[in-house]
Formats: sequence, C-alpha cells, structure tokens
Amino acid sequence: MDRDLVVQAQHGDEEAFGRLAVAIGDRLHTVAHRILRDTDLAEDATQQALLAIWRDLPGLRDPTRFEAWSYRLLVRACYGEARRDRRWAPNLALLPDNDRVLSDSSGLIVDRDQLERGFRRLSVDHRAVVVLHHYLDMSLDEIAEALGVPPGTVRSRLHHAMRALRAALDADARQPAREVAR
Amino acid sequence: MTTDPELTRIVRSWLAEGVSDVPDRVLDSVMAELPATPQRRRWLPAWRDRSMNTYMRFAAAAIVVAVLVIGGISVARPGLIGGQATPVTSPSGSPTKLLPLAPVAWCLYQERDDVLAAPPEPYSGALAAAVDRDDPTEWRRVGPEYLALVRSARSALGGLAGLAPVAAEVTREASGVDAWIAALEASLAPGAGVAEGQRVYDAWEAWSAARIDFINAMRLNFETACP
Repeated sequence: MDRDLVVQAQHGDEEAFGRLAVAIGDRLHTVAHRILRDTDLAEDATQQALLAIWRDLPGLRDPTRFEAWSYRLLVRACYGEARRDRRWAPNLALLPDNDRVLSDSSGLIVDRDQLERGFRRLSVDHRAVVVLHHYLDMSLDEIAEALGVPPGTVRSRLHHAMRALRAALDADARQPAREVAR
Repeated sequence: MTTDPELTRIVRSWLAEGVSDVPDRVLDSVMAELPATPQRRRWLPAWRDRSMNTYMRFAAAAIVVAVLVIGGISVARPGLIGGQATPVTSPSGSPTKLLPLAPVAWCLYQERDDVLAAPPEPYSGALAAAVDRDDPTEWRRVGPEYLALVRSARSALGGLAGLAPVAAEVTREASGVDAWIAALEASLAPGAGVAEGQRVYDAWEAWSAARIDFINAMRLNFETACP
C-alpha cells in the first residue's frame, strides 16, 4: 500500500482517499462477501468499512499498518451488518447441478451446501478468522494484530471453526446413510 | 491445534470461489458521502497501541474511574469536594438523592476497536461492552451474584442509560437496562430455564469479569474489580 497515499488521506485529501478506496475496495469486498455470505450485506459492509476508514484514518499512528487496520474495520463492519440484518437468511442461489460439488486437486468432492451450512453456523468472529487465514493467507499472529486479540484466541477460534466445519461435513456425510438405514 | 490438511484444502478451494470486484456504485457512494463524513481528529490513543501494557491500562482506567467518581460526587454533593458540603434541595422540596458510591470499583477499561456496541462517552471510561474473545466452551454459568454486579454497576454509573439500546438489541425484547435486568432476574431465578439464545456465563473465578453470551454468539463483556 502506498504510504504517501495513506498519509495524504489521513490529512483529509479526498482524492487520495479515493485512490486508496479503489486500491483496497475489491479486497475488502471479497473478504466481506466471504465472511457474510451475502452479496448485499457484503456491499454494505464494504461501504461502511470504507467510510469508517476515512473517518478514523487520522487515528492510525503507523501508516504502514494500514492494510491490517483496514481489515479490523471491515470485520467490525461485518459485525454491524450481521447484527443489523438479523435475518441471516440462507443466501439462496440456484446453481447448476454440476456446480453443486466442489472438487479440489486431490480429487475430493465435497458438497458446497454442506460447507455453506457449516460456515453459516459459525459466528462472525470465527468466520473472520477462517477467511483471513485461509483466504488471505494471514498468519495467526498477523490476524491477532489486525483484530486486536491475543494470538491464542485466534488459534482457539480457528481450531473451533475448523472443527465445526469438519463436524458439519461429517454429519452431512452420515446423513444419507442414516436415511438409507430407516 | 490439530491440523486437517484435507479440510484445509477444501476450505481454501471453497473460499477461492465467489465474487471479488466491488461494484462501482459502492465506491461512488462512499466518495459521495465523504464531504458529509468528518474525519476524527486524533485525541484518543491511536489504533493498536500495543506498547501500552496491562499496568498502564489499569492505571489509565483507574484515573478515568477516579475522575468519574469524583465528578459524580461533585455533581451529587456540590461543595463537598474542595469545600464543605451544603444541603441541596430539589425544586419539589424533597432532598436530592445522592449518587451512591460504587460498591465495586469499575476500574478496568480496555479500549478495544472491536467494540460491539460502545457506550456513549460519559460511560465509556468506566464500562465497556466489547466482544469477548475467549472460547465459550470453557465458560460456566453464573449465578445471581452476577445480577448483583450488574445492579451495582447500574447504580454506580447512573443507570447505564447509554447501554439501553444495546440491551434492547441483544435481548431483542428488552427496551432498556431495567427490562434487561428483569430478564436477567427471570433467567437466574431458581428453577428458571435460561431463555433460548441467552446464556449468562462467568469465565473467571474471581469476579473480575462477567460475560454475557447472547443471541447469535454476540457477547457483551463487563469487566470490573481492581487488580
């Protein structure tokens, strides 16, 4: 991230902030969408996060930490959107049948719905850690720094989330067997 | 932490899919709102001041509490501080009710940017509502002592009026702190079941913290007691 741009925006330069917003907008939106699993909520969260960044930017002491700081505000905006929109309804989307399964390089096939359901059961706290770690490749220490929580908490949260996802996949995998057994 | 390479691969592959570009209308909307969005000038500690250790936080929080308590006393008993107290009479003729001193000192306040719902300024130095960060699986249910703690805080801090919207939100139906406390009373009554989605826990053996886990895993964290 261009440090000078951050500093200019810190001093109220709207044009500089506009360039910053363009530079980070896609990434913020991508992360928000992965946390919230909802296009509308993600757009709102991105907008709120960008405005919060603008508003609070003068309080950022070290401009080189802008990116990590922006994720903190984004996650906070995600909290806000999740809280505001309590419906948290399943984000229904019609997918072609051949999109329903996910195949990774190992050839493993997993039902997207299983993963989606498991992920949606997680709190925003847990989702954020999963996304920052597994999507942005941030280390646990970096996540702790960005979110302002102890590394142990991040580790615990990631462990809990992954365990929950695994349980969701395993439970759904057992479901057909039980139904057959009836 | 155990690793599950297979699950990691699956999750990473799944997260790699999906939308990426932010629509132009979002950026346009942000830019349109900038002129009406004043920047906050730096007067509070800047973000992530990790150099501030626990002792400094305690010290800072203690100062804040001292100011609040002294301010509360001076409001309730004008003349007591820096002079002799004089009786105060309300317009109705009945004596003004004195603000009670806190039975417990609310001395720990940790500035956190991830505050779920911050109380307004008058209380922000003394009581924090913050997202709790610990694993709730290790929490234990609290007893009525917690209720007493909340009541004492409410009494000491002028009703926690600023938390009313928070209480209304997290309990869904509670319209303010009073209703919230009533809900707590009901949930903590002997034999009463805890309302669905509302669990009260204490994570610390000493009453140095009390945490409330509400709907959707949102939690409020009230920290109290001096070190």
